[in-house]
Amino acid sequence: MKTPHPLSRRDFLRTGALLAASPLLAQDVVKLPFENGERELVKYPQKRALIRLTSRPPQLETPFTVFNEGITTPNDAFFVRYHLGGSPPPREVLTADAFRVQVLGKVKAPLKLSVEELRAQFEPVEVVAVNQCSGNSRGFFQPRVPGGQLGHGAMGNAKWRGARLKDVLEKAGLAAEAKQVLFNGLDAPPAPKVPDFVKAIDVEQALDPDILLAYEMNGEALPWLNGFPLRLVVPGHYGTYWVKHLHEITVVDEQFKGFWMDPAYRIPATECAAIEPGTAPKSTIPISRFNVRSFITSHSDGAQLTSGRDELIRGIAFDGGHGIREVLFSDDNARRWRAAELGKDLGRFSFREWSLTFTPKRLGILKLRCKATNRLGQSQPLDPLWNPAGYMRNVVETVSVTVQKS
Amino acid sequence: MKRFAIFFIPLAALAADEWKLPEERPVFKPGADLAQANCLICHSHEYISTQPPLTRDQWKASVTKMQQKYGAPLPAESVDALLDYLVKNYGKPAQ
Repeated sequence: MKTPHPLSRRDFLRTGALLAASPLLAQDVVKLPFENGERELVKYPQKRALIRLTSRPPQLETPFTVFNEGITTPNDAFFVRYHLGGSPPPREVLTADAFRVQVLGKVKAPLKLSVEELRAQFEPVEVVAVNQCSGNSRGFFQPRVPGGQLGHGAMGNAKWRGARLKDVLEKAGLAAEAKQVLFNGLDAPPAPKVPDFVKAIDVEQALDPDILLAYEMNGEALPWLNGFPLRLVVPGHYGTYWVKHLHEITVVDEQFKGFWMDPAYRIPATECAAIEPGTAPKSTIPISRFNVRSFITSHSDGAQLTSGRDELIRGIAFDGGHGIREVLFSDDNARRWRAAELGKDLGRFSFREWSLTFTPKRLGILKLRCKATNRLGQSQPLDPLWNPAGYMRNVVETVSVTVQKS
Repeated sequence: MKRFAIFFIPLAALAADEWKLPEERPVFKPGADLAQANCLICHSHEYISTQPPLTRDQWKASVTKMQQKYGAPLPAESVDALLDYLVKNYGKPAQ
């Protein structure tokens, strides 16, 4: 949607006149563990205090301790990522009276549906799926790369409910020449030349029954900042495809060339999307599925353990939709590994909980690590991979703890 | 007394007057006239202030991207002055 930005240039200059370093209260600030990682904790509508990366458009990161509260991420703690300064769209265009999603372009019968009609006319489907930003953990890249400097909190796991995209496309009837399906939301470019946020997927993929037009998240309406009233859910794929406030689905007969597909959100066309640090890729492809990741959630850097005392180590693992087969744990600089016990299986797109009991014996600093493998045998590297956009970090992460005498 | 759980799907859990974001507080380091006039049209100051210390070349690549891909109205003759500000306040010297 193109609308003029609500604030004029003069307003900005006036705001600028108020420039002053506003001192932050100590309890309102967190420090992500990389250079220039100080962030404010700020409360937004329907959200608890989250780590603010940017205020316009809002980008909020989930504090990492939330991932130890449960295997799904509460709506009020779920991360927020927008691209365009005119985001989120205002209430006026999102109410039940105002909001419609349209299916247009190379279809036999274009559709225009309210969320109520989507609920009533199409079978409701539920999936528990991780959404993760392409640049989650970008702040840890070495050498550092420009972009949103995120810790590990631009991910979350939720139960999504909605209509299958496939069912809606089949009702509209794809024309024989249909090649790609485009998704556009109501978030608005802040200036005339800023490219609107539109994403494309191939028709064959669009007919994947796992992809939903979701109107619920963890049993409630989507929060405003997570796409109310409707968003695309593409399980196993990076959040860039999960278009929020989705109001236009356009079937086209060509390869879409929009900015947010090319040059944005591209990864090197190499094994594991990696190239030599500090270099440029020879060719690129659109980012797509998650690689394998795992985290220790029960302990953070600096935790104190006691020698000889049992400690429950717990964490999460996920991948791009094949499912987690195994999680290994090491306390000795990745020399020896032992298998963790996997928790309840909420489906191949969900976080998978893992845990084990660990009894530290040696005193001093221990490096705790976990490493997951999916059902295809794909795992995580011990040394970080690099690409210039800072996407897809999945190195085996390390938590340093201190073991004291009992 | 028994408590009753009420199950419903709210159409929008927000009351009409709650659709508001926290106020934006621009906190640039001093001397930011060009950054205020050009960068803040599209985004808040953290897009700059949360970056790791970038080299002049990296800041130049960002500024060029903002001009060419996002239509930032920065006049060509002001690019060097903006880069001076960004490198001095949010950058690192060339090695």
